[in-house]
Parts: sequence; C-alpha cells; structure tokens
Amino acid sequence: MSGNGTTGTADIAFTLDGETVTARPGETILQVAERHGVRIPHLCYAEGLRADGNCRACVVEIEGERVLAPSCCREPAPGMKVRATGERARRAQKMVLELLLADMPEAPYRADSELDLWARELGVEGSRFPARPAPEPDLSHPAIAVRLDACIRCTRCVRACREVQVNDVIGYAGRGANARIVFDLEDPMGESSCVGCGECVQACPTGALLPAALLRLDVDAVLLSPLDWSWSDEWP
Amino acid sequence: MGNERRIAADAGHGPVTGNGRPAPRPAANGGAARRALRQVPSLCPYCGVGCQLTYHVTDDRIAFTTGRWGPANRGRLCVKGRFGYDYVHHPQRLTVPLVRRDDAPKSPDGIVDPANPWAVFREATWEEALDLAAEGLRRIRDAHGGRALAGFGSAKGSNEEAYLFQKLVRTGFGSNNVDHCTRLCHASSVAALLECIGSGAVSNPVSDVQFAEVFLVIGANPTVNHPVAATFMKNAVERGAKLVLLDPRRTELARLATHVLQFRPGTDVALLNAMLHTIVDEGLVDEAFVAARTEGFDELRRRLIAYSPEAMEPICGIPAATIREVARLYATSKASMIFWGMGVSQHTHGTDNARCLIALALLTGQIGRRGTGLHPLRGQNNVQGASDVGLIPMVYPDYRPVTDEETRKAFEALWGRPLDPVKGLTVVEIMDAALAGSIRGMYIMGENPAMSDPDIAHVRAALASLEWLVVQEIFLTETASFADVILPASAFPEKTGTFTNTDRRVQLGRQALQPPGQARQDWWIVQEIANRLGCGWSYTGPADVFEEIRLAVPSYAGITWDRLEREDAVTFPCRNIGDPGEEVLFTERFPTPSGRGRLIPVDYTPAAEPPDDEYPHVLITGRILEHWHTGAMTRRAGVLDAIEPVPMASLHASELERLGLAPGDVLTIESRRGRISAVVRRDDAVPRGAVFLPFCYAEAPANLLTNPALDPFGKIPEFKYCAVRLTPGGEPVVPAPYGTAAAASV
Repeated sequence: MSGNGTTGTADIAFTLDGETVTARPGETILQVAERHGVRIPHLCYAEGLRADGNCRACVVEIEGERVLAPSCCREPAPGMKVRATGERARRAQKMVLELLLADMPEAPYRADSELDLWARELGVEGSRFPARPAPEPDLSHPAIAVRLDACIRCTRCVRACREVQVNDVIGYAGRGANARIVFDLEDPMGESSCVGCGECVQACPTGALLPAALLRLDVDAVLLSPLDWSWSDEWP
Repeated sequence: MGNERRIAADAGHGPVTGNGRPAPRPAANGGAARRALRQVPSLCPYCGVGCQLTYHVTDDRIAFTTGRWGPANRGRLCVKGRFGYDYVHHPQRLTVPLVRRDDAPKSPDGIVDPANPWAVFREATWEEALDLAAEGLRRIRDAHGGRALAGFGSAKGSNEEAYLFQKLVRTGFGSNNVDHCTRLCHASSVAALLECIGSGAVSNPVSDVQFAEVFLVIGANPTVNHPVAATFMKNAVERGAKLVLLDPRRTELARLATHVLQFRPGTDVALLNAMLHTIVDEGLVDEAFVAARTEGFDELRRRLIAYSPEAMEPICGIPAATIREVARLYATSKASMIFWGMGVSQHTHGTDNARCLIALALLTGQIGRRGTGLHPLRGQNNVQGASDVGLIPMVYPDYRPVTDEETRKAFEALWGRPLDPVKGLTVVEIMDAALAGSIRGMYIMGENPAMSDPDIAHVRAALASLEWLVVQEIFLTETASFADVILPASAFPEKTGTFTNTDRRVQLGRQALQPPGQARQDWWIVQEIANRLGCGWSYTGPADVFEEIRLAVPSYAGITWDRLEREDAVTFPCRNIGDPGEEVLFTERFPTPSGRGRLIPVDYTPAAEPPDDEYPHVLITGRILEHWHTGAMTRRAGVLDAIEPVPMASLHASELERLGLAPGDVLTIESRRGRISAVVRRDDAVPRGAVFLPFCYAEAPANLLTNPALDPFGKIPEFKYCAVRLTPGGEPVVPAPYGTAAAASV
C-alpha cells in the first residue's frame, strides 16, 4: 500500500477526531479509521488495490497542514492530529460526492452503488451542478455491460485490469475533464483484447461496469457481499 | 462516446425544487421491492485453481457470481467462473432417466442429437432405469467376472462421489478397472513424481510464486488454463521475479518472461538434459543437498555427459548459450520454482520429461522451502481429489498399490468385501479391451471419452461394441450417445461436496440450486447402483461419506466436515485433527522408502509419429480460455460460446501464406486416423510447421486425429504431437445444435 514512506516496525500513536488511536506499520489513516469505526467516505480506494488518491472523497484535516490530505494515501506520523469528521473535512467530502453525483444517471445502476451509499450516509441528497454529456452505453461484450455515464473515473478498473489481473486492457485516456477509461485504443469492449475476467466489474464502485446478465434480470444488483471479502491480511 | 464539452443550460441532475434545494435522487430500485437474491458461498466448477466464489441465486436460477476471498484466488475469477454458469440452466439438461430403444442399435458414428434424442432413447422411471442399469452390469459380472467390467469416474465431481464410485467398482464389480481423465492429463507427471519423490501432488502451492526469485513455466499456458493462478505469476514478475518460459508455442506469458525458449516440439528431454548437464558441468549442484537428500547422482552425472548444450542445440533448437544462462539462473537463485502442464506430460516420453524436471529441483536443492518446488498444474477442479480418493486402477485411496497385500487386507477390512489383488486397466487400455471384447460393460460418470480420448473413431467403435453401457451425466454427450441407460445427474452448483484443488486445498462446494426435473445427486445414484450390485450401503449424504474418506485417506484424516464448513478450505496433508495442514512439503525428507529423492537419468527419444512426406505438419492439441475441455459445459454457456462459437485451427502467419489462406477460410486437417475441417486463425505463437487445435468443438473434434501411442509408465497418450496433412478448403463447418442463443437469455 502506498504511503509517505516512513514505515518502520513500531506501532504509531496519533489522534483521530480527538481519540488516541494506534496505526500498525504501513497502515494509512483511512485504514486505521475503518478499524475504529470512524466513517470516512472513499471511492477510488478499495482493499486489495494500490491506493491512488484521485477521487478526494476521503480528505481529512491534519493539524499544521494547509491543505486537506487524502487519508487513503497518508500514513500517520507519531503524535499527528487528524480531524476526519470535523466541519471542514466533512464539507469537502460532501462536496466531492455532490460533484460526482452531478454526472450520474437518473438512478444508480447498482442498488449498492458506493457513491450513493456514501451520499446517503453523509446526507448528500442531490446535486446542484449541471451534468456532462452522457457517454453512450457499450454493450458489445457478451459478458460485461459498459455504461460510462455512471463512471466517476476512480480508476479502480484500471488498477484491477493492469495491476491485479495484469491483462493490460483498460487504460486511462485524455486529461482533465476529458479523461476517460478506454479499452485498448478506445475500442468497443467486445472488440478489444479483453479476456472477460470481470475484475473490473468487481472493482467498479458505481455499476458503470456490470455483468450484462443483470440488465436482463429484475433483481436488485447487489454486488458487495459480506461473503466476498472476508478479509485476511496475510497469505494463508 | 461523445467528447464534445457542451454543457447544456438546464442539464442539472433532477429538477430544482421551488426553494432552491435539489430534489433527492430516486432510490436504486425505484422504491418498489424487487426479487431478493440468496448468496451461496461455493466454488468454481472449472479448473484446478479452485477459486472461491459466491452464487447469487433467485428461486431457481443463478443470476450472477462474485469472487470470494479464497486462499487460491483472493477474490479473483476468470471469464469461465464468473460468467460461465448458465450451462446449468441449458434446455438440453438431462432431466429424466433414458433407456435405449430396442429399435436403435449402437454404431460408431451414432452420435445422438442432444436436442432430440427420442429416435434413440425413451423415458423411464428411476426405478426401471436403475434396475435395468444394474442388471446389465451384474449379468456381465456374474457370467464373466469383475474384470469384464470397467468404470470411469469423474474429475469434476466431488471427492465423495469419486470415493463411492471407486468403491463401487472395487467391491461391486470386483476389479480395479476404475480410472478417470487424470490418465489423459498428469499421469506421466505423477508416475515420475511417485517414483522419484514418493508423492504425486504439488510440493508448493501456486501462491508460493510470490516467494520465488526465478520460476520456470514449461509446457503450460496458465493465462488460458489456470487464469487466476497466472495472475499471481504475473504479479510476481511485476514485483521482480524472473520468469523463464519454455514451450514450443510463444504463449501469452512470453511478454513478461525474461527468457523465452521456444524449443522444437517433443524435444523437452534434450533441452532439460542440457540444462542438467550445465548444472553438473559448471559446479552449480547443491552438493550438501544432493549428499544428504538424494540418491543416484553418480549414474545421472555419467549419463548426462552426452547431453551438453552444444550437442543438444541442433535437436531442441535453443542456442547453447541460452541453455546455459537459464540453467545458471535456475540453479543459483535463492528460490526457484517449476510449473508445468500438458506440454510436458502428454507425450510418449512424458514420464521422462517429468523425471528431468524433478532432477533439476533435486540437484539444486530447489525444493522443500518456500518459493521453490515442483508444481504440475492440475487441470480439472477435482482431479487431485479424485486421484487422492482412489479413482485409479493401480492404487487404492491415498496412493497405496493394489498389489500390496497388507494394504489390500486393510481395505478389505474397511469395506467388508474381498478385493482383486491385480491392478486394473487404464483409460486407453480399457477402450482397447472393450474393442477386443474382454471388457463387456462399463459405467461412466461425468466423463466424455468419446471426445477426450485419443483416436476417437476407435473409441467410439469401442463404446458402440460394449454389451452394456451405463452413463451418468448432465447432458447427452457424445459418450452418452452409446449408452444403454442414461442417468440424469447433478451439476456443480446443485451439490454439496469437497473438492481438492491443485494446491492440495480441500474446499467445500455448497449447493445453491435443486437439480432440474428428475435429475438426482450423483452420490445417490452411485449408491443405488451399488446396492443393486449387493454392496449394502446406507450413506446419508456427502458429510457421511467424508467421514469414511477420512478413514481411507490418512492424508485427509485430520480434516473434519465441521472445519470445512467453518474455514472453507484445509490443505492436506492434514493427518491429525488440529494439524493446520501442510502447505510446503519435503522440508526434511521425501516419502520414499529411503527418505531420499531419486535422480533418474533419461535419454532423449523423439515423439512417436514424426512428420513425413505424407503428413508433413505437427498437430498440437490443447485448450482455449473460453471453453472447457470437450465443451459439454461451456459450449452451452451463453457468454462463453458467444465469444468463441466457431471451431478454429491456429497457424503461424508464414504457414497461412504458404497455404494461400486468410483468417476465416476453411482448412482441412488429416492424420492417419481421421480428418476434420476448421476455420483458420492466425496465431504467431504457433511454431512454423505446426498447427494448433483445441479439442472442445464437437463439429471438429481434434481427437479424431490424435495418436493413441502411450507413455509406457504413465499410460498417457501423446496428445501434443502427431503428424498431419493440411489442405486448404473442405466441408463448411456446421454449428453444433447446442442453441446457445437460447441459453444466453438468462
């Protein structure tokens, strides 16, 4: 996991929302927060993937630092004072969610869309911002439905394809507002070198990538299953 | 995907209400209640990686799957496991027992249309079908003895089903003529491993590749056949491990390999002996390890003298300098691991090939530690388990020879029946014996030899000639076409049972669905047949059977059903309750009589049927990502068959040019045994002078062409090499009547 490279071997004590907590060597602020039940929204971060820090939904205040820090990418230093759920951090976190919601389709493609779950939890009910033009759906692949109108460019799919399965199909093209995920050289997914492993589907937080079968079923698409991620830290 | 950045004036998300606050987003389900899904934690039915997954199920259908955090897959899946589950719901599932009509005699080319079997078969009740099936077998047993019968069990069924099946053959038929498709797979690897180090299972799990500094992948194509295992290999390379790929085909992993040795087909021993020669010659032998833990070094050294890299270069086609470099890399790294597959094993010299790989590990001490060892990648999801529980003609459960008197007496005591002291026939031998008439009746469960055996014209003639054939299946396969009685059985998601993956992990698969129609659990069917043969069984279910497996298989004795339910996976050997289960083997000794590993010298022998003027090309058979083996399952899975619906032959660009063919043209391929036509595809991974065929297409069965010549020790056929003739053009390829379009609408 990425951090600020100060990993030693001893546990690190720091303050999180006024409480003293301990981080194990190599743990990020976000991971410690999760262990202690402190709820920090996060979208581009997922257990098992290298942290990327692009969505900024997980930003927190660190005393003495001018700008907010992405808690998924920061390892605590001894004595650090972090405010994760204070007013400034929450305002920024909620703004990120509201900005992302602006571009989303009418209703989420997954009943457990992580964006919607966090929005609901933090009380973000809608968005005052105008939407971008919605990309067309790409249903060319028999197994995977691609509807990038629900894509928040978190790049979890990019990391899933390139770093987990190492199939190197999904790329990140363009820059700024034009940035988008692509398959090979922006081919339709069904014509790309995609091998259909579905790691991207499993990684996608909003259902922009979904099993195609779900489009034909009248069921709640709930992909986050408590059974799926019975986490174990170490190799068995 | 439009990239114009126009922002429409009123493109706000949802209407703005009167007081300026945005309207709340509608809930995902529009507020209405939708069908809830059950989540059943289970396993993938396909390959030996043994991925754990969750089936998300409506009342009676699998809706989708997600990856589960199992020790072998850590949440990952491949296209087959994730999207290839709907074969279970295919309309051609067998749902009633079938009996052959009196007016439908068998013939070698009598393959029945699975969509319309009624000209050949009629429906029967379970009572009638079971009575008839058993009576046919019993009649042959009583008139001609148990050795006139044979059984093929399944490497896809559970350990419980396999155990009962071999017990039925041994105690119900009264012979050891029981085998399964391991014979076509790693039989030669296991023969060599048992001979050299006393154990046929892997020494280290796939996940140990993360601890390896160097790893060899030889004769294996894991991105296709063990995709999730391959992802961990790729991860290891990205973290700095060095991969050496040795294969006549320049497969997908080549792009990540530090060395790619594309050697000539069939010349493995030449190449490997040259590596062994280098290790001895350059003083790279781990002398302390060899002295303490091996035997046979002097003879091996003497026999390797003739195998210098310079002498072997013209045979295997790999430059001597490269051979030396790779040998040094393997020998001197802190931890080197060897993965191998069918390219090594499916040869008439497959056992020799494996002996060389074992010698590499033993000479250099690259075994018995993390990140080292020998890993023959097991193909089927339960081929390891099926072998462990004795579905093998030469050995009892846990690999003790049937010819060993003490062991036989112990099993006679456990099973309460006298047992045949003579070892039984293997798969190909059984087919030959059937044609010769000495095997008259067979019981086949979940195997498809009419597509998977070599020289299937011969096999189909053999099956057609049987007096009595009982087939237990989920589809009316090519093999079932020759049956007298067909018993409709349970598919993977319809059963609970234990399955052992390539890493020796015993895992629990849980039932998610009921079998369709009148199809029944495999274990129940086997018991019903067994009892009609006088076995007197009263098992109540898989957990019950597992208790007996623990008594029959000491390596499993410490595993309890409870522990499997709690932990989902336990690695064997686990001999006593409370043992954690051993991941890495041979840390101190080998389970041979002397405790040492044997170094067996081998000589290079070419493949059995080299190309000549009449048949100038080499045929290499294998698999593709989307289809599993004979295609019975995956050709009926909507997504998978949609991706690869057409039988194809792969050729290097230069071969296409020479033949004047473009991708998409029809090509006819002919061997001394048969002829097929397939659609041609360009694949520069295939060496010049060779053609590659997957064996999954019923429209173009590759095994019509293959050579049934056997390795003398493992009795495995030479699927990876025979001589063929290529002719442009041919019969247009007619699609099989599987109706995958219908199945795709879940």
